[in-house]
Amino acid sequence: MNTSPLPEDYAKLADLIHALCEKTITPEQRAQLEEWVCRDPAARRIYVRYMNLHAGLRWRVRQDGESGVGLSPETPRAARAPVLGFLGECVQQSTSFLARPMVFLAVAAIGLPGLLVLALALGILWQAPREAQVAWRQLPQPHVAMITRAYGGGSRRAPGPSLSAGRVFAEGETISLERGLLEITFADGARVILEERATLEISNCNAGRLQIGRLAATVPDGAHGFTIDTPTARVVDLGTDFGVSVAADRTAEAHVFGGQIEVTPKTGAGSPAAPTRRLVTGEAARIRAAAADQVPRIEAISASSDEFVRRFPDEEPPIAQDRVPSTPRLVASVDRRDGARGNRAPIGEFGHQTDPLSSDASGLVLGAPVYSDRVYTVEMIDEPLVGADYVRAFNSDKFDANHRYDVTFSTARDQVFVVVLLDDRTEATPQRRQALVDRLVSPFARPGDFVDTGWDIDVDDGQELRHPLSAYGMTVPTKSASGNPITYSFVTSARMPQRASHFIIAVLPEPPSPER
Amino acid sequence: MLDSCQTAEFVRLWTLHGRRLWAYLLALTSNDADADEIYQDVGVTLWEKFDQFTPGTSFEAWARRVALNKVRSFRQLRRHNTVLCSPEFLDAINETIAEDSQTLDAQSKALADCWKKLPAKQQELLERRYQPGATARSVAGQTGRSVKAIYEALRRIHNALFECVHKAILGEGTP
Repeated sequence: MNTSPLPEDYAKLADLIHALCEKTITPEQRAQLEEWVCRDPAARRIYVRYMNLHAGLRWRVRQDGESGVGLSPETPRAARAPVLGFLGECVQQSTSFLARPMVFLAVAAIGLPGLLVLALALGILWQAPREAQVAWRQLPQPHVAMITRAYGGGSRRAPGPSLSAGRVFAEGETISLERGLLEITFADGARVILEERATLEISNCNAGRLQIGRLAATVPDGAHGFTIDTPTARVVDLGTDFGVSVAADRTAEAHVFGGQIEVTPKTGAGSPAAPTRRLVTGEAARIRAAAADQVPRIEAISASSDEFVRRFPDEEPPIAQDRVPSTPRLVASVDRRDGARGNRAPIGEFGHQTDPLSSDASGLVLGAPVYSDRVYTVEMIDEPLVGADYVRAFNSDKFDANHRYDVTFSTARDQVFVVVLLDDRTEATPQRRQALVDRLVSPFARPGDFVDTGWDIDVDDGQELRHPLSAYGMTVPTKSASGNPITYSFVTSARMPQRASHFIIAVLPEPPSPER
Repeated sequence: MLDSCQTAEFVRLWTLHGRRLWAYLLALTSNDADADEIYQDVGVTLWEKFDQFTPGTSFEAWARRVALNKVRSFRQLRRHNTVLCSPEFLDAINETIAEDSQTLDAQSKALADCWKKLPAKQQELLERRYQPGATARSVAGQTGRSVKAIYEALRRIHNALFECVHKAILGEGTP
């Protein structure tokens, strides 16, 4: 009987698969492998079995590396889970694999209830018998907090455990947030919104340590006692919503938005304990760092809820209530003229006059598609632009020198704030980008009428790259004196730089208020 | 929102089928980072739709259908040269996995014994290679050996393991 898994002819196939797994395969070899696997059922089986082998090895080695448990499947815990049936030892591997941050995400991202019940399930499995105590001690610690929402920060597609929704944390792990907002829910139910440029250590299921930055906490009934430590004070919830900030000089502030908290300054070793002060709704305190032999003083200050982000952007409609597009939406019509032809996803085949696809119903929000002929999405968006209605232009039009978009806006409003989003790579300097914007809107605006708002969006092109686009805006009337809609033409008089994406037209009900 | 019993059932099923689903995704994507990402997406989707799952039907079959759709979407979004790309390839692999599922299960079981038969040095090399983010090049840097030597060593070990599990399957009478 021939027991060789690889007939001689297939040794080459194994080499190709090995090169694929080791990422050394050439495009020619890739094509050869694909053709071979598609054509030959035997080759296909070998491919699938090899990949299954790789999967098994990776699964085993990685869970072993994290748990410290030997590769042998015959661990005591495996025998404790007969109900899980198939694959015997794989049950415990699955559990451990599931507990890994990257993989735990798959279940943890689904929401806190899932996390809590999963934690319970893992906890049950982790209740090892006496003979398994060594393995038990080596297992990963349970997670005690999870990012339940992320906004404007890292990429969802960032490799590794990025700061995205679903990321879970064990005790002692630290979150350093450079940009955007995170909502972090602790296992006991307290929820904090962490602002950018902050560092928060997860102390346990009901406590954290804010090293620098700002956060706002909402504590439900079951989580009273939620504690935020800072370098100079400890803040303990007594049933409340509150904010805590820590400045670079370690000065801490605590603000009570509703309910009560206790603030206790921290003192050095050997110094007398500082008195605790209770603060109620509308009160706030500042605690400055003191010399080692001195007791820090609590200074009463005015509470300022406006200084803290207390509501995650998604808690309300993505667009603030005062900027919800009217019905019909702000873009009433789009007529595309003399654009490029092509055949690209998601629209498929398109001609010179093909009109764009409808924009996302939520407007410009994270994940919204931005073009009709590219599967590019919004990866980051500055708040004032969130929810803006927009024209889903054809990116391929950048190859066409003389195309035009004729756009009318809903006349339910007398005027709207029109925004041109221009890829920063189009021109090297702000002056040249301004000149390009001026050309795009030249049929209806004078040079300089469209001003750089300072807002940006980042577009993800699906190739691990994010392209920043800057927003230039101007308020325009929607209708003439006779009440007829005004048509605005956006034109190009020269080919757009090919390295850049095409521009995007967006529209808001009104210009931003000055404080934005 | 699922109740706690449904949640526990989901966790049980996900734990039960997670490994096979990940292996399925690796075969479809041929890239472990992509398999990781899609695996997570599949988990979220299955959770969100778990109230539509009919108890008593195959969770794994349902999970695979979702996973296959995710892979298709993923390939549309990210056509890069780390994956085998054609729709025909996907369909062919999907069919083969379904047909070969018994053998694949047997292979997974046999792997534990075959691992034990490897010399310690080969086990150590595999442990290094399958750490997150590791490559033949990074392993070469850690061990002071050339990339080519590591590449060849891994190829020999993989082939040896493949042969071992194949013989084990034949010994058990699995087709």
